[in-house]
Amino acid sequence: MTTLSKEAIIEGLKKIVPGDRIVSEGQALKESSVDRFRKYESICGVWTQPIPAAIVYANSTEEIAKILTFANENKINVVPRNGASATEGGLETVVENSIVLDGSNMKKIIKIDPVNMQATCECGVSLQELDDQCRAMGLTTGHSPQSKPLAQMGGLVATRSTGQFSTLYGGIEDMVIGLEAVFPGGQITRIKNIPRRAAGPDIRHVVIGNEGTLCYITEVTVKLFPYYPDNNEFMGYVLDSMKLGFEILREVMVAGYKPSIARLYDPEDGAYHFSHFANNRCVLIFMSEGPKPIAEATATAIKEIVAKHPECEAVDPMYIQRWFEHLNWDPAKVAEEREEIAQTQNIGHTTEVSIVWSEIAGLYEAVMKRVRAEVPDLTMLGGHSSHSYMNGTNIYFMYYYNLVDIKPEEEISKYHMPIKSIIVEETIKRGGSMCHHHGVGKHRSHWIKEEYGSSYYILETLKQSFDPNGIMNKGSIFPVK
Amino acid sequence: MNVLVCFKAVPDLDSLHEQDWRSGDGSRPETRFVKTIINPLDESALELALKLRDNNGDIGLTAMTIGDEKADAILKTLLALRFDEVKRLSVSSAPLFNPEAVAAVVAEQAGGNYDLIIMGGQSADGANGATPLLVAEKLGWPCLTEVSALELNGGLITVESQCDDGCLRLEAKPPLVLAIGNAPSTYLRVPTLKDRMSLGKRPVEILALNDVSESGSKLTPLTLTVDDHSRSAEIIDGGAAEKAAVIWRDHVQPWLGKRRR
Amino acid sequence: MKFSVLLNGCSESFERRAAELRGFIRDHVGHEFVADKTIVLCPDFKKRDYFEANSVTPKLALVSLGGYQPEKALAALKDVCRDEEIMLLPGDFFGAEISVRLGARLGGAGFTGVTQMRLEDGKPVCDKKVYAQKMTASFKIEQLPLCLSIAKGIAEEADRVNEPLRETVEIDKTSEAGGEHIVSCGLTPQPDEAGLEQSDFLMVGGKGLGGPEGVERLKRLAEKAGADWGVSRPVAMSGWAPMERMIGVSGIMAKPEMCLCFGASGAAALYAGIARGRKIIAVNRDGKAPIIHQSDAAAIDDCLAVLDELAKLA
Repeated sequence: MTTLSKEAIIEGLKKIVPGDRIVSEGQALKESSVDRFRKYESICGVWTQPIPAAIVYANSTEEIAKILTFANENKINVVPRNGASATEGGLETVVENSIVLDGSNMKKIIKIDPVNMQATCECGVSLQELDDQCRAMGLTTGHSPQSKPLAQMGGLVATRSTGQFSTLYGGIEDMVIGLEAVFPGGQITRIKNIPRRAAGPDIRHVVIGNEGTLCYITEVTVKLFPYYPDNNEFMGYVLDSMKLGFEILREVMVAGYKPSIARLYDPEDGAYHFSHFANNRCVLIFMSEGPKPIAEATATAIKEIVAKHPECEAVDPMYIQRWFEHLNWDPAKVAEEREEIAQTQNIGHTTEVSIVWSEIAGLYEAVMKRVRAEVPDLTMLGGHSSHSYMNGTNIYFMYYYNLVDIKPEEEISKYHMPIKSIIVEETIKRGGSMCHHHGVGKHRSHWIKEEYGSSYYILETLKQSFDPNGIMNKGSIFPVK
Repeated sequence: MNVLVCFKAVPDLDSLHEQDWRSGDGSRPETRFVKTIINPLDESALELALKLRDNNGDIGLTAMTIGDEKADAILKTLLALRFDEVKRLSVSSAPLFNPEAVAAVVAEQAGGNYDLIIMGGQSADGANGATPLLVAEKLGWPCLTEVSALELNGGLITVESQCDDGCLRLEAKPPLVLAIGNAPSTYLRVPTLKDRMSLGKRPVEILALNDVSESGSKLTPLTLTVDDHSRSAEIIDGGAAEKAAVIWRDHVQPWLGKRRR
Repeated sequence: MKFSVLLNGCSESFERRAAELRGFIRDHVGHEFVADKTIVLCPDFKKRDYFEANSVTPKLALVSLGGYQPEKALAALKDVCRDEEIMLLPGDFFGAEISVRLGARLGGAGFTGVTQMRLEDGKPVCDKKVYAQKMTASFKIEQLPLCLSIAKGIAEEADRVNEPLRETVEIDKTSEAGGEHIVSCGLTPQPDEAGLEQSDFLMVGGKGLGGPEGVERLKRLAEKAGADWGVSRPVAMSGWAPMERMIGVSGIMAKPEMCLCFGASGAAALYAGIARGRKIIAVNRDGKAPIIHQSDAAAIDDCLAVLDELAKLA
């Protein structure tokens, strides 16, 4: 990588942006060497990753182009960042003297267009703010990840985010109409906003989900939908078997209904959210929304489908509605979690995968069995399905463990990675995907070739073509050789 | 040394939806839709008791609550955390505003079996702030209040207590009732799945209790109303810099000008 | 109906607690109630003049104990207060523990955290905050004597009315039994060094500060702006700031002229600590947080971003 010293890098950056937007010392720099994957190390103040040379706050696409050009010419690793709610190591700076390129100053909502039902904004716009503004106009982005209060639009697109209403609205890849991205050579590229086209491959997908390894997303345009909160209908059921739960999710999906939420929690995961009514049983949740006749018809049909299974016991829908209102992670919740970890020495992480219907129950069982048998000091192991499709669903495994006799940096090697490995191995073995919506980051890249199989050729060629010097977020998606 | 820790399972009031404060049956807020948690000061009491045993092996720990089956999940957790005994005195709903009755039950259960009774100084919901004090009165034991830390030193209990003039450090002889106040860093620890599967499967002792909600009460609740602290809430728009400018120029600066020092 | 006042003359804060009780009687007690005497627990009778000067009522009883010890105090008070109907205690550590136990010991009712007292159908009715400070409950007191402690920090401090002291009685209870369980006792004084109770300009930070570093930024802004600073209970309990900086019902009850709240949702326990503030300005990311509608002006934004911008202006 670069032969430039930290001082020389900062000198170079100062020729592009004013010094007050370059952070080159202090706690912020250390914290920018990691994301929430290494939350335990960061709570303990132990920094195992190379500390970046600088954080640069860019104010415009042109500045980003200049910074990338400078980095490319000098082979400096750049970690693009927006919102910083990543959980899979995507923001870790794995090589010395990296630049963390932060776009959170670029927070202009350029246009909310109710005629063409699309909203255009800069990369640093917070989704919460965009969606709040849309809702005030009777519109919504339809995107609602748990990180909504933290996440920013550029980051959401870069990581192929999905949201709690994805079963109706789709993932971010279904929402992005057009965008602007800057490539390492400084090329500013704009993909125009059109309803559809058949003019070659859909190049949006080169950018969406690139995790900062190919380009820097500076602007996005997303679809808008009418917002009908009054028509929302929640449904909740308790039942004893995950297998049956998966079958009901499938029945609803293949019958052609589109609830906005279709979720299934196992007893352990459910106990974290629903201890006041679930009584250690599985919980099945649906929400229907949209124009009134559609919302009503969807709700009626779902109730009819579930009613065919007398094992499911309906609960007061208000339980579900109230739970849903408290689901998102805001900064206060993140701070509270850090404090609980520090005090109790108990920490939790997640791994989310997807697979076709015929394999889901087997995968769930296999993972539960192996993790319980192979990993010590577990305090909780559970999972839920939160995003369903015509051909399959996802499963989001949750695991907590007590940290016993370890140095801070051993949390990952003793507990987290062994668990993640089991989940990834069991998923890939069954033909599923090891990453449903958190992205690959830096800790699932070891399995990227298994994930892609022969199609890895396409992925690898993208990297070689667009980032020949390998300066874009080294270690993410593509393992460090 | 035998220690009895009393706790109350309460609704997580911080998560209670604004509407549910007003949508109850008129005499109470609607708390069905939030999770049940350990009353925060009682959680500190439980963790302080566990810490006491971490540092002094030979301590028998009993946890006790009065209430309905909502507390059972907590009791199982406490079993998994190696409480020797856990019991629930079963009533359809714990008396909310009758600390006399609660204290009478605790004192009767405690009998001559314990050297130390520990509990939070008050509950989040009833907020009587009286139960540990009344237990002490009924047993004729001394009571130390606003306790924030405790240790055991050769049969003597050392406690820190936040009193009006500062932090009291007291060395005292049991038997004692300790009312726990703000004790920093006392989140309850988490048991492993293995301990849940083995220790946590031990039985929770459940004893039926007659309805005590009215017994011995010296007061009658009349009304319960939600306080309204609404103010004009003028919303300041703009970016962070503009908002700061409005706060400073329109509100703080004019006031600073006429501030009396 | 008659009532007496019971104060702890062994405490440093005696004078202020006496002033608060005067304010409580003036503003929060129905006129059907008549003040009778002030009972003061004191180390000895040496400071008789001081206690007389601060008596809440024209009649004063000084009870010497040697020093404050709750068991000993209760043993003494059981005798001293045997004919009392209603006793008012301050809203502090002393008041909370003695009101309940003395009520029980006298065979009557003990009651804490009272915000109002009035007479209905010949019986005292007391209001207090319940349900995490969010609600007010009224209770009819069925059995006298009633020993009540007032809610912390709700009463204005009031000066003495210029009424001559009519009588002072000295009662020596230094030889009373009690407190034998205490082997040793030491006090680390923690006076309200920060002076937050008296602060006219207060900045309060909640969990939205994100950690000790955010608290540090709040502190720097406060210093620059000439304000005092405090934190919510979760922040203090997390160890991000010292406990004596805690604002709210279990900490400091402030009444600032100008109060800026950063990243605090406005949980009732915290809000109680600033509710008497003249102007409350809130900065919070969540527009639905109660602090927003309980403020005079509010900015819905990342509290640290606004805080840093304010630091440039201050």
